[in-house]
Amino acid sequence: MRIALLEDDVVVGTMMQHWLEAAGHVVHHYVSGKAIVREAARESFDVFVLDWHVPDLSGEEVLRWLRETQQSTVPVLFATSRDSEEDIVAALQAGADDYMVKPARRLELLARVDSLFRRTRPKQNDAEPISIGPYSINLLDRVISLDGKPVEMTDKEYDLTVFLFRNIGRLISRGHLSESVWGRSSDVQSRTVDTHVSRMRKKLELGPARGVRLTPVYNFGYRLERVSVPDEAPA
Amino acid sequence: MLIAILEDDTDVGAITKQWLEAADHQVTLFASSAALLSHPALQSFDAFVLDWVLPDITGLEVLKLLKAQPHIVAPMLFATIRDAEVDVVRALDAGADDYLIKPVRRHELLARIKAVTRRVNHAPIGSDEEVFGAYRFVPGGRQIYCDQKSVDLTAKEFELAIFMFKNSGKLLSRELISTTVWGRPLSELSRTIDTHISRIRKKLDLSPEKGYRLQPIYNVGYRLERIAGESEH
Repeated sequence: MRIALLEDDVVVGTMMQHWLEAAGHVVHHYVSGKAIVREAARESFDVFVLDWHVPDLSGEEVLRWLRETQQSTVPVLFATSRDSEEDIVAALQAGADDYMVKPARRLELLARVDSLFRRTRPKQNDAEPISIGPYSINLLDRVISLDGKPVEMTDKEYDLTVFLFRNIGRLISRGHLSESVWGRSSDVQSRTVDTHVSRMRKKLELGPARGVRLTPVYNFGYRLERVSVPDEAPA
Repeated sequence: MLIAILEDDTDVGAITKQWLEAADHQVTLFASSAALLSHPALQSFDAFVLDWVLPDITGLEVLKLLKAQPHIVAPMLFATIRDAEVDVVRALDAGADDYLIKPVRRHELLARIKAVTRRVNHAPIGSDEEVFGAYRFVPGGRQIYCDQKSVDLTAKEFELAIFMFKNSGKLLSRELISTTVWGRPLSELSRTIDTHISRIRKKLDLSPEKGYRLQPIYNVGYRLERIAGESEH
């Protein structure tokens, strides 16, 4: 998962980042409210973990801001030393999905992040093919079929397709795409991402006629979404 | 919301029930796991609050049994005295949506129930969506879009709405609505139906401008009428 972590205490933040990364997540660590907001305006994440007391914007302000943006449904977990009932209620009412009092315990943090993700995302089971409209993706054989016919794709195009189909309905940033497909350390340019996306769109004939559309979102990324197919049921 | 509480301590159970009812929830209190598990319509609950230590079967076992039933999708919270990290992790890994350590604080409990029920479990991707005029239902995500705008509904409101839409034009009796959506024909549910109907009417803005009218039929039930010109199908 791609996690945005807001924690101004560098020691605590680094430790949490380390815990989450050891569990296989990719963590982007921010030490101020403004920094995370600036980044979240152009990058998508799977989960936000927010501290309350941070320089400039508070975690609560960041949460309120998030709930009004394109990523308004992203799961948010508060991890803060504020333990009064009032604070917990205020954060949950403002739209937080979970609230942990610090010091956070490592395994509990990981379990709560997983639980949150499970709760908010479709179930994923590699043994079962992903099937959406005329498309079917067999994850074990790495084969994508359109109307039952396999579509020839490069590895990267395949990875890109799986990632977008797993996140159907969600707005995904270019950085998020390149990180999941090419890896975090790679230096892929956004033009490369766009080229691959456009090839994959062509090969899969994505469009309203197929019931699945890939919409580019200016200065951000893409959203794969279902559209209702005009009724032409070949009975 | 209709909430199941599994709690063998009568005092704690009674006070929790009272808190939730004061917040306009309906509560069924179970003092043993066997009593909860033998309830005939577990799918009718919107949330479960489970204790861990119980006289018969542990709350964790109950959670696993409930999670194994695909038609039970309501969120489940633990409220227990067991505060070891390993227990929290076991419960969450088994599928619990939240974990509270006793003594539970009233407003925190209410806020946490609300937070987990805001997001209902998603079905596997690929479940089909249905379009009725200006309304688009995505059963997998339990989302409804009205004119492309997402509308937030609780699990029950969603079920009720999709049932009404699928049967638009038909007169639906209270009994049919309650057995279909709540899993049982209960007369004391009648106000619940009306409350839910009025909420979906408001949230979905069911009105002639949107092509639909929701008609109450005195002493019988409701009928959702499509009154728009034929836009599609």
